[in-house]
Order: sequence, then C-alpha cells, then structure tokens
Amino acid sequence: MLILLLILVPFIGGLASFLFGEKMAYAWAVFTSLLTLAIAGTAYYFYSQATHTTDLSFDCPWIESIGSTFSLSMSDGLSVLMIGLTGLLFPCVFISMQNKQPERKHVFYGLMLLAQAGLIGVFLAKDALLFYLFWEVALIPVYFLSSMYGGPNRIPVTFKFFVYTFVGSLVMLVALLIIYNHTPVHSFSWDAFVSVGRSLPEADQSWLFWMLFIAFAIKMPVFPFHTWQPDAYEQSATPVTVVLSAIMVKMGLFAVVRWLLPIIPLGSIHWMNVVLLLCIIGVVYASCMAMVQTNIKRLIAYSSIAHIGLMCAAIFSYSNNLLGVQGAYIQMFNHGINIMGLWILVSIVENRLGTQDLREMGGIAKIAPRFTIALVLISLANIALPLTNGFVGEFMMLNGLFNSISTYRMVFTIIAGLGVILSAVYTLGMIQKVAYGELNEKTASMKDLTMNEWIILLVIMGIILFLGFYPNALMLLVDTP
Amino acid sequence: MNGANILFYLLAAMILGSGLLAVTTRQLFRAAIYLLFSLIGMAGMYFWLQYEFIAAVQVVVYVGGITVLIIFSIFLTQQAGEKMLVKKTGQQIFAAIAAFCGFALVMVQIVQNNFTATKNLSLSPSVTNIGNQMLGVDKGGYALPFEVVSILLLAALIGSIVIALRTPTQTS
Amino acid sequence: MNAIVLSGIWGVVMMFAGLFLKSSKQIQWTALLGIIALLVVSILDYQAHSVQAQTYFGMMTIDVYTSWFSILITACCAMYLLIFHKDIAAVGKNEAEYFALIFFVMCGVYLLASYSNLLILFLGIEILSIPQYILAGSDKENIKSNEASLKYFLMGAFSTGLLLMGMTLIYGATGSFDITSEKFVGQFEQLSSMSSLSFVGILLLLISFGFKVSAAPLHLWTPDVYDGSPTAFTPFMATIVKVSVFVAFIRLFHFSFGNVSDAWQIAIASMIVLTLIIGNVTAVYQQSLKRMMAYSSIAQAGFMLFSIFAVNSTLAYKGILLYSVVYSLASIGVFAVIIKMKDYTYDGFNGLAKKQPVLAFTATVCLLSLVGIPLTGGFFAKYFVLSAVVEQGKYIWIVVFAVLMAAISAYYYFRVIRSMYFKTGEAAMHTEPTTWDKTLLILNAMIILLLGVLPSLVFG
Repeated sequence: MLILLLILVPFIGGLASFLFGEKMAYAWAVFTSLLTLAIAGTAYYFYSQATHTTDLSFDCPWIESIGSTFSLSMSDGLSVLMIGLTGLLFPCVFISMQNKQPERKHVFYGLMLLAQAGLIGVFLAKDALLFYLFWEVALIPVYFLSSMYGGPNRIPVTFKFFVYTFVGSLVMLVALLIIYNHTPVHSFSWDAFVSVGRSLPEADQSWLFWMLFIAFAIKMPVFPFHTWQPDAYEQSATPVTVVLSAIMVKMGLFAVVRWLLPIIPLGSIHWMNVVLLLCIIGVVYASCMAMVQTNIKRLIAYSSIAHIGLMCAAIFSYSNNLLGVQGAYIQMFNHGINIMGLWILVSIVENRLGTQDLREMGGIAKIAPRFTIALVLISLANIALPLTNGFVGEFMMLNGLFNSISTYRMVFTIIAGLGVILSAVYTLGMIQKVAYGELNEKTASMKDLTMNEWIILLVIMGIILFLGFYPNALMLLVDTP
Repeated sequence: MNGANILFYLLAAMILGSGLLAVTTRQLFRAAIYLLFSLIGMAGMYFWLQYEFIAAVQVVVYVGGITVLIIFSIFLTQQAGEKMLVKKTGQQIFAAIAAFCGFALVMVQIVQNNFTATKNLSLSPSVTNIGNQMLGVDKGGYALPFEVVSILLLAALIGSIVIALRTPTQTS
Repeated sequence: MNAIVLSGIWGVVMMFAGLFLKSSKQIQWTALLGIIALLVVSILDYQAHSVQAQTYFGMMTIDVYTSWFSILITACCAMYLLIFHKDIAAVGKNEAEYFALIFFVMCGVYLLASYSNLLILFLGIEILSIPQYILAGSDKENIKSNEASLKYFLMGAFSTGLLLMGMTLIYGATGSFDITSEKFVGQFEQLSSMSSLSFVGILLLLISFGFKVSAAPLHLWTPDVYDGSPTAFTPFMATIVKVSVFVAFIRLFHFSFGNVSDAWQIAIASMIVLTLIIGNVTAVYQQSLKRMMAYSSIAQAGFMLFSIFAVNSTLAYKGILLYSVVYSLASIGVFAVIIKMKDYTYDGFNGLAKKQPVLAFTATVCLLSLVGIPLTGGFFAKYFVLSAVVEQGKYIWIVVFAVLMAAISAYYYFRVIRSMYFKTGEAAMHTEPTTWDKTLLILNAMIILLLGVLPSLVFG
C-alpha cells in the first residue's frame, strides 16, 4: 500500500490544490511534496533493509478483459533512485520559489504535483499499459505549465515539445501492442513482455527496437531528436525547466533500461553501434553548441544534452563488467541533483537581474559570496570533478564504454572523453562570465541568497559532497541491477 | 427469335433510349417527358414478366404520380423552355470516365455470373398473395416493415410540414 | 423492441404536445421525460434479452449486444437532450416537431442496431436520414442552413439509391433479404463460391455506408452540412446518428460478410487511409471551430472504420461500443461550449479559461479525449479499435499511419486549448451558462474521465 500512496499523495494533493485556491496553495504544495518525500524515504528504508517487501509492490486487477493489471513495484535500485530523486526534487524546487511566486499559484502547484504523480507512476509501473498511461499523464501537466508560465515564445515552443513526444509515444504504443499480441496469454505485465520479447526473431526485434527507441530518444533527447529541447528549456519558467531536465529526460533513460533492453535484447545489440554513434555525436555536438551560447538557460540545456548522451551511450555499451550501466544509473541520480542546483541558481540570477544573457552578467562574486560558492561547487560537480558526486558515475560510464563489446569502442571512448573536457570548458566559462569580471549596472544591485535558497542549496551541496566522498551509498543500490 | 424476345428488346430499347435522351437533352421539361417514357417502358417490362400488379403500381405511382410531380415542380420553379447550361468540358470528361468505370465494373461482374433459368414462377404474384404477405405476422411476413414504413412516412410528413410551414417573420 | 415502439409513439406524442402545450418549457420537459422513459425501457429490454437472443418476425434479432448498445446510445442521446434542449427550442418556431423528429431518429437507431433483414436496414437508414434533412434545414432564414439541408438531401438520396442497388444485387445472388437465412449465409461462406453479383452488391453497400459515416472519398457533404446546420443539431448528427450507422455497418459486414473479408478489406483500408488524411489535414486549416469539428468527425470516423476493418474480433465489438460512447460524449461536450459562444473562430475562444473556467475545463477534457490522451476515455477507444487490427497481425503499417494522424489531430484540438488557456481575449458569450448547464458539463467530463480509468464499464 505504501507504494500506492507515493502516487496518490501528490495526485490528490494536486487536485486539492485547484480547489483550495490561491491562499493555501504554497503551504499545501510544500506540505504535500514533503509528505511524498517522507513516503519515498520510508520506501527507501524498507528497500535497503529488505523488510516490508509487500509494501513495495502493489497489484490489483484493472482491465481484466485485455490482461492489464494495475501493477506497481519498487523492485530494483534504479526505481528506488529515481523515486528518491523525484521525491527530493519537488520540495527543493518549491522551497526555492518562496520569494518569487507565480501567478495563480494554485494552478501552478496543482499541475506540478500532478506531474510528480505521473513521473512517479512511470518509475513504478510494471505493466506496459500502465506505463504508457503514466508516460502520457506526466506530459499533460508539464505541457500546461510550460505553456502558461515562461518566456514570450513559450506557446509554440512548448507545443513543438508536446508534438515531438506525443508522436514518439504513439509509435511506442503501437510497438507495445505488437509485443502484447505475441504474449501467449495476452498480458501487459513486464515479466510477460520480457519472456516473449526475447523469443522474437531478430528481424522483428530490429524494427520494434526503433519504434520504442525513438519515443525514448525524443524524451532524453538523443541527437538528432533533440531540437525541441533547448527552446523548451529556454522558454519554460525555470521551476518547470527543472522538472523537465532533472526528471522528465530521465524517463527516457529509465524506459530504455526497463522497457527496451530486457525486452528487445537482440534488436538492441543489433543497433548498438548506431545508437552509440548518435549518442557520441550528441555529446560532442551539444558541448560545442554549449560553448557558443550567450543565453545561460540554453547553455545548461545543451550541457544537459551532452550529459544525457553519455549516459545513454553507457547504457548501450554492453560492457562485460556492467560498469557502464551502473555508472549510468548513478549518474542519472547525480545529474538530476546537479542540474536542479544549477537551475535553481539560474532562476535566482534571472529573477534578480531580469536577464538570461551571459553578456550582461559579471562580477557577482564580489557582492554575493554565498551564491558564488554554490555556483562554483555545483558547476564543478556538473563537470565531474573528483570528490564531487559526478565523478564516480562519469568514471564508471567511460570505463564501461571502454570495455564495450562494440568494435569501435576505442573511438567512442576517446570522443566521449573529449566531451568531458569540453564540458569543463563551457562550464568554467559560464562561472567566469557570471561570477567574475567587472560589475555592471544590472549586477551591482544583486542581492545574495536568502535563507530559504541558501538552505536548499546547502542541502544540494551536502548531497554532492557526501556522495562525492562516499559513493558507496549509491553503489550498494545499483550493485545488483 | 420469338415474339417474346422481340418484345423484350423493344422495351429495353425504349427504356435505354429515352433514358439516354433524358440525361442528354438540355431542356428540363423534355427531360421529364423522356423520363416518363422510360418509366412506361419499365412498366411494360413488368407486364412482360407477368407481374401485373407491380406493373400497375409502376404506372400509377411513377408514371402517374412522380413524373407529374416533377413536371409541376418544373413549371413552378423554372422557365420551362429555357435551356440548361452546358457543363465544362473537364467536368463532362470526368463524369463520362466515372460513369464508364462504374458501368464496366458492374457489367464485368454480371457477365461473369451464371444465371440459372427457372422453369416456372417461384411464387404467384397475385394481389391476394402480396396483401397476405405484406400484413403477415408469421415468419416471412412483412407486417413489421409495413408498420415501420408508416413511421417513416410520418416522419417525412412532419418534416415537410416543418420545412413548408410559414413562420410569422416570413409573412411580414 | 419496446424501445422501438416507444420512440415511435413518443414522436407522435411530441407532435401533439406542440398542439396542446403552449409554453416552450413544457414541450422541452415532455421531450426530456420521453428520453428518460426510453432509457428505462431500453434497460428493461436489455434485461429481457440478456439471457437469450430473440427474433421478431424474421426481421430483427435483438441480443445482448444490440440491447446493450441501445442503452448506451439512449444514454448519450439523453445527455445530448439534457444539455441542448433549450438550444433546440431556440432554433425556430416548430420546437415540438424538432423533438418529434429526434425521437423518430432514435427509432431508426434501434432498428439499425437490431436488424436481421436488409429491408429493415434500409428502412432504418431512411428513418435515420429523413428527419436529419429537415433538422439540417430548420433554420429557414439562414441560407447556409438551406444549403446544408439540400446538399444533405441530394447526397443522401444518391447514397440511398446505391444502397438499394446493392441490396437488389445481393438479393439476386442469394434469393433472400434475411441475413440469418441459410441461402444468405451459404452465399457468403467462402470467397470462391461467392457469386459475382454479391461482389458488386457488397461494394455498393460499402459505398453507401461510407456516405452515411462520412468516410472519404464520400465525405464531401459533411463539412457543409455540419457547418451549415443549426449548432444545436450538429452534435446529434455527428455523434448519435453516425455511431449507430457504424453499428449497422459492423453488423452486416462482420456477421454476414465476415468470411469473405478479402473481397472488401482492401477497400476499407483505402477508405481509412483517405479518411484519416483528408479529415485530419483539412481540419488543421480551419478557422472556425464548428467547421473544424466537422472535419474532426470525419477523422474520427476514420478511426471507427478500424473496427469494421478488424473482422470478427471481440476487441472490435468492444472498441466500437466504447468509441461510440466516448466520441459522442466528447463531441457533445465540445459543441455544448461552442454553442455558448458568440464567435466560432479560434480567436473567439481566447481567454475563455479566465472568464468561464468550468466551460474551459470541460471542453479541455473532451478535446483531450478526442485526441486520445490517457486517463480520458478517448485513449481506450482508440486503443481498442487499433489493437483489434494489430491482433490480426497484418496491415500493421496502417496502424502506425493512424497513430501519426492522431498526432496531427493533436494540433488542431490543442489549438483550442491554447486559445482558451494561454491567450488573452474577450471570449464573448452568446448565452451565459447556468449552474445547471455547468453541472451537466462537469458530469459529462467526469464520465469521460471515468471511462479513461475503467473502460470496462461500457462493455456490459
């Protein structure tokens, strides 16, 4: 039952937020998200102690006539990590927003909580139809959020994002249907899918692979399906961008691990090199694009593409020591934490200075030391400096890529390593442009972090350093994928 | 070729010939008259098949009723002597092709079909039989459709009243 | 059977109500009473037939499926009348007659759901169509309404001619109108022994059904008729009437012509492709919401055709039930908002969410359902009809094509949502919705959402 609460609490909380009206909205949202975090924490505790396992899965008949069950389960480290990330992220975002509230708060927070319910559902679903349902349901609130709050060009940009993902997911639905039809006793359960998917002939698997992969690749996004992403990140309101970049893109990676590799193994190996190539191109391309951006949000957007590309490559590396996949799992969590920190900082800059243009910033270090500390530390984590949380994952991923069964593993690894170096270039460049240099009219009036922002960023920095010094906390979770 | 055959071909020529003229003439009134002849030919065909009752219905309803109605409406709405506009060549060609394709499709299928000749009439089309069957309630009786037709006619009647009834605004 | 009788009788009652009842309110209440009575009677019918199918005079066979469909479609019609009764009465002077015609159409709907004889099929289609010609032209002052009526009538007469021709040829081949008779069943047992007359007959029936459900390339009447007709009647024509023709369609083509599906499946496939392309792509370019909904109804018909395409699949039967209900309710919900507006263009909807949050919300739920987003009934409706085709294992490409077209449909449906929520404007109202209207619309939206979670509710 506990696991059901994970979805129900934000879902009902979100609906209630619409009814409660504006006054209560903020307090209610923080309360609901903290409650969700508490439940997620309890679930993590149960999982790590291997007790109360019945609480960690939920099954009940749903649409029996087509063999679909309402089946949720928190059975492996990856879903625990993703639930943890989702649970942690929303209260952090909400608390960091205390100073600058959006218009019509109850709508904003209501939609955010609904999105959270959908996202948690995606990470828990063990039934293909249910998975698809949550996959779409998470998208709708985000569509409304991005369209209602954000930059002047937000409506067409968000629509582009929506259409991209919608097309992908529809094709995915057809693929799921086809696999479903091969199941002996028609069933949508994950186990049935895995057992039937493996037995499909390679020819079928090779086109089914693309039907599924394109949907996931659009979500991640992997080059060349990424064109919606920089615009959407730039135009959405920053809290929404956090949700998009820290969790929604992980949905794509998660889906690859859960719903693609085990179900279409032959197809995945068959197309491994192509996928790796796309990922690596994405890493280099996005890094180069990030270097020339003058808009801070676009810069982070491209950096996100680069990181995701590397994670996807690691997942597809098929290294015999499993390091690549484990590294990707860890990095999915860490990247979520880091990018959330970055976005919170960006939203602070944006709100105080009223600009996203890097050329109009500078010198903030002189007047806002707390801000600068946070910016530097989180940025360093983003480029995976040792002793920050990013390092272990990144190292494992490159190691995995190096031990890949791909014939071109050397080339891929070297180029991916180049991507890591490039990431240092643009991230340090960003720090320099924002925090150092001369103060100008705009930045001169910059206020340092307020208490609530400082607390949130301290929490994030704490996680970064803790996991940097003690990566075992995560390693234990992903040891048996 | 016996007399019956000759009669058949004559009737067929009448139906087709006047039908063709009905659609090719450019005067609306003439078209209606040609249609009349085509329908009369149809009635003749029923007589030739010895379905006297249906032939009589054909004459009374179509020849006597529908065609007269058509002629009336032509008189009421159009200048009877006026010629209709010639359609554009493109439209004519397209229509001809479409008609030909439909015709060819149907003909090809009909030619392929094996028609088996019956020795005697399978049922006697007397008025009594028709009446019995139309109001019969046992299996094969048509009482239900008969009643349904009455609903249909009622609906049509109401409809025509709704359409034709003057509304107060129109009189002013 | 009782529902058929009652709907005919209530048509007459409505006629007399127009004579004896002076106030428009009373007439509307009589009509609402009638539809509720009809709903009760169809539920009683269902209980009577739930055990065993019954044949009437060799003309109609009422079984569980048809009587269940009758309940569903009556419920949809009740929803339609509850929401629109005031607007129907406002169309013109002959309000009682409009309601009478609607009850006659319902009579045709029941006939179409339960016929087992081609004659009844023909009569059902005619009873369904003739009142519609009148309803389309009921706004006599409006030239567009006149055009709609005339166009509908001419096209309808043409398709009736084809229907009769097709039936005649099939009669010629089988020697029977009764689709359950041995002669009829024997003729369509396998393709090789089928007479060539039947082949042409099936083709002609297909064409005339295509006309009635507005499948491309026989859809040309649809936009003008749905756009020109009074807005109060368009949802009725586009939903209840259309889906019942689909049930008649599936009845004949699956139960009778199912074994010879090779003869007509390819024709349906090309119809589906054309319908989806034309419906969806043209809808994108519309500026008026009413006209967009007309094209959307063409596009939705393309999806419903999948249930015809997937021969003898249980999923298809379930799918068409669900699709009928969900599509009807969603379209009714959207039209209920359209009719309240002064300006039917997209810009006329700008800022509706601020002014009328309830209307905007219910319209959004309905539009999401029409797109086929999960958690709304529309998703499972599309899911069932498409998975019926996937289950057959061939023609997968057509399913992929259809989902891409669904993505196009997202464009024009979401455009309405964009106007309502993200743009600012006046959103001038024609009539202000009452609390009662809002309650009904919310109920409607709730049913759609409920079916999005528990679609099995409509399977009976």
